[in-house]
Amino acid sequence: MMTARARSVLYLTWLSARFSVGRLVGITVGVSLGVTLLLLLVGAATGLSDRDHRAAWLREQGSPSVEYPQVDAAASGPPRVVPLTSNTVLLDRYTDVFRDRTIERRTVAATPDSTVEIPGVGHAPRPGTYYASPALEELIRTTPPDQLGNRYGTYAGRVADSALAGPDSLVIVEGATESELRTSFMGSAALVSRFTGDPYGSSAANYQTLIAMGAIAVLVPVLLLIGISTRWGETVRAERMGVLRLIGATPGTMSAVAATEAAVTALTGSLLGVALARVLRPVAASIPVGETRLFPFDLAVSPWLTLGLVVVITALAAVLAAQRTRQEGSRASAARSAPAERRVTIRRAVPFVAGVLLLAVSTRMPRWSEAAGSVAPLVQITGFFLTVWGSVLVGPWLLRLVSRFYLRRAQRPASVVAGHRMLRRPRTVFRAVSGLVTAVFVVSVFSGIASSAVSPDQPPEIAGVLPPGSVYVPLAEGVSGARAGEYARQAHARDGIDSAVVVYGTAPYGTPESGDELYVPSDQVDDLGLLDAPDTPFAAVAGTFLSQWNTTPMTPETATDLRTDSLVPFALVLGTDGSAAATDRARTFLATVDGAATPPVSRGDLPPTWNTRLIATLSVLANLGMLVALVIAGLSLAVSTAASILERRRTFAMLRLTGAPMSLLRGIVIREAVVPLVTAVLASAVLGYGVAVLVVSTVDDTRSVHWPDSSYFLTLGVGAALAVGSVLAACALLRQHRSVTVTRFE
Amino acid sequence: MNPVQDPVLVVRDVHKSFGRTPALRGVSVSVQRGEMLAIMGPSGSGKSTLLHCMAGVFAPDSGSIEYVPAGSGEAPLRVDDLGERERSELRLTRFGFVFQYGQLLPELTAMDNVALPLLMRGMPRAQARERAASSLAALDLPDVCGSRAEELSGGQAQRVAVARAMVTEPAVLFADEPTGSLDSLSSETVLTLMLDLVRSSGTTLVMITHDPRVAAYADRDVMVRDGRVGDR
Repeated sequence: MMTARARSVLYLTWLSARFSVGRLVGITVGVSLGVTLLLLLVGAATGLSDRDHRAAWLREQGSPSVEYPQVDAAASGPPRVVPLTSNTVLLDRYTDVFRDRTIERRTVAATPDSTVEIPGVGHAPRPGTYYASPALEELIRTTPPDQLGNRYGTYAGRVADSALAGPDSLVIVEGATESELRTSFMGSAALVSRFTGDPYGSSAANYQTLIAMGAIAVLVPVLLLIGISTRWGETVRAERMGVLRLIGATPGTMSAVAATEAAVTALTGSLLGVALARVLRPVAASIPVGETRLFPFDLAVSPWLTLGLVVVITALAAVLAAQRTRQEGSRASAARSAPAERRVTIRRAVPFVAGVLLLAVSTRMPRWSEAAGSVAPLVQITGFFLTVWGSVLVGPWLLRLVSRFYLRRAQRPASVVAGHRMLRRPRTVFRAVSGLVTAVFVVSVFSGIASSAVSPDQPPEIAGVLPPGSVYVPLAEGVSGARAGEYARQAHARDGIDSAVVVYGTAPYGTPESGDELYVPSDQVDDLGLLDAPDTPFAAVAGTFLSQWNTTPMTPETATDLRTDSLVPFALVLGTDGSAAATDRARTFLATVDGAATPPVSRGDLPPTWNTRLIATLSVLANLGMLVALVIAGLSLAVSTAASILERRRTFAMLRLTGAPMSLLRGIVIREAVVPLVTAVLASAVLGYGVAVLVVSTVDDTRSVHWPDSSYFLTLGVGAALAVGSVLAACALLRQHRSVTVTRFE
Repeated sequence: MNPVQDPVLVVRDVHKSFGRTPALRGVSVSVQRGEMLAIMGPSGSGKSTLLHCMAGVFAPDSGSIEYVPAGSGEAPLRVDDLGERERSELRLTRFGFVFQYGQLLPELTAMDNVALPLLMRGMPRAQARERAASSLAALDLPDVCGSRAEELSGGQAQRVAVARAMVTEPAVLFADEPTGSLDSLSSETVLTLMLDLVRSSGTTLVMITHDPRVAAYADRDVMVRDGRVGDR
């Protein structure tokens, strides 16, 4: 049975709430958006982790739990070939390239009674057949076979989602015979007994550090939004509470009323947030992270975690509201204005400085000792959190400094009013832009880091260097000159393939005798991008000429004293018209050449195969962080501006009454937003770039931070537009709340 | 003083309703230049609505309100015909206001609170602050220039409000229960200073009050009951 006190608390709550519908709706919407973002964020964090575990078996830098060499060199006596058994498969790993995307290609040979399970496939495919991921299957289906499909055998089935990072993953598992794998590609295949489920191996720390930083970058604005939402109309609430107290409600009853109101609002907002997160899951999953999107189920959060989150947020809101009401207990009169703020001091800079110091220290830790290096990521995450949070904390102090200077120079009435308010209430004023501070800070950090990445653009054409549109394969021992010539002739007959050059050596590729010098028929020197062909039938060029990494122009030299009858085909180089279709046609042709010692190689492969995962992930996290933080920042600014107008409606009405035009009131509101905004943006940008320098030097001390690209300024522009839009939208409230009646009755 | 010959505000048959609730039902009243008029009446009688209509804050539903500038150079203004912008301009340049409480901007110093209307009229800040300091001194408040509104006592805050209202040398000062929130001693001080200032500057005063002792300071009083003006 409900006690009399509980009934009175509920009645008073209802009384208080019915006069504050707008405020409660505002809080509910704010909390629901915060919970939505929080759930999607938690989902993304667990989803990325799940994804990494699913795709761990494909990661070349991972460590399969058991991986034997094919040949046991450690045994006494002559090297012994380790036999293939039912407990092992021979596995060859290779990253294929199509257009600007990479295809994880796995070739497997197994005994008929093999017990090794291939992730997503089951038993190893029969030789000559393949399983493809749905995205690759679609790509093969929609692309002319001579550009892609001919590289592979016969379609046998689909790689299951359970073994794929995401719906866009390009993965193929091909079957091969044992002998094919023992001899192909220089015997690079390994014997594998079980596929690993542990992602990343050595790069895990950096990767997870970045994910944690991205999470902090998104989480802080989310918490700010929830905090700002629950403060919506704080003065109005305090006044209502004051009235209830005046009519005899005890402090305990008032706390209970506030707690009940906050709990009901937070619970409603949380439940709406849960529903909204469920609805938005497919939308959030469509954002690509790395090379693929997430599956929608990746973003699912367990029911228990969701329930826990709802309970914690509701309880926290109730406790904080009760506590706040107790603190306001002495302000019994409904007529008092908001209490003066405590003076902000330079002590507020301590967390930020501590964060920067931790980041700086973390860059050095790996050099101290292995143990120190192992805790460096934790120190870095803590440092990043402190810098993000510290940038919000230090803001009011900075604003106070700026507003003192601003007020001294103020001439217009709007500037004087705004300057005084910023000087006296820097915490309240800065709260409005705190979301934007985080956004700009995070954007600056990530843009700074992204600016350190090597450009993924197509390598440039350089005279004297193999053109990026050329594709070649080294030829294995045993491929005769006649056969190589026939391959060249066949290739040259294909669309878009402008040249086909057989490059010779004094020994076949991969043999100990293969020299550092290669020989090219002088009349085909131009086809390789080389200049100044000598008069002799063959030109000599350094072996590094074919290297993917070579960017040094080379000049062919006269091949003197060359015994042409001793030359053997070393590589087949196809020159294309540079189009993507022709390059993939050349690649597909070379992939099917019998006698290719390695998969096809091109300088153009560098962008897609370059290990840019870290930077790409960073870039995605930056975009996500930017998007979320900017939207939240816009919302926070609108809510805070609206709250500041509502809480000062008496002041504004009084100003209107004494003849102040609307433009003056707008001027006050805009100045109170713009001055902290400019302060925040400039300070955050500088601090963010400084932090980026520290982070980059930790991840890779060979990289350096450059001037931000146009997307950075575009993002800042979008942020500024959002901010101005939010403030102008909130200014509409000025018209609704200028009634002079508030000067008497509020 | 000849009240018949020199009116500054003439209110004729003004009606004003809020929704379906009538606040003024055909009020007519004339205020003479330099006069101190007290408007009295019980709560909810419509006296504040009348003051706000006279000051051009509310536009009446019907009837007319005329403001007659001093001298012969300017034609009388129909306040009820003016647009919002013009009424704001009129309040800023010709009228001053004092309310019961809480009319100062809490974050501003007393001096900047007083200087604000001058700044709004385009006066340079240094000059405005100089005038504000003089105005505060005239109200016996030379020491509170640098104090923020929230640091002032109730009596001091009201005197600062009077200083702010008078700093622009308004033609008419509207005061809505100017001493309603003060104790009797502070009330006496504020009232005396305000009336001295008003008299010495020749400003017209329209003051709402419940208190007959305050009304006794006025040259004339009118009683508002149920939205109509009658004799006491």
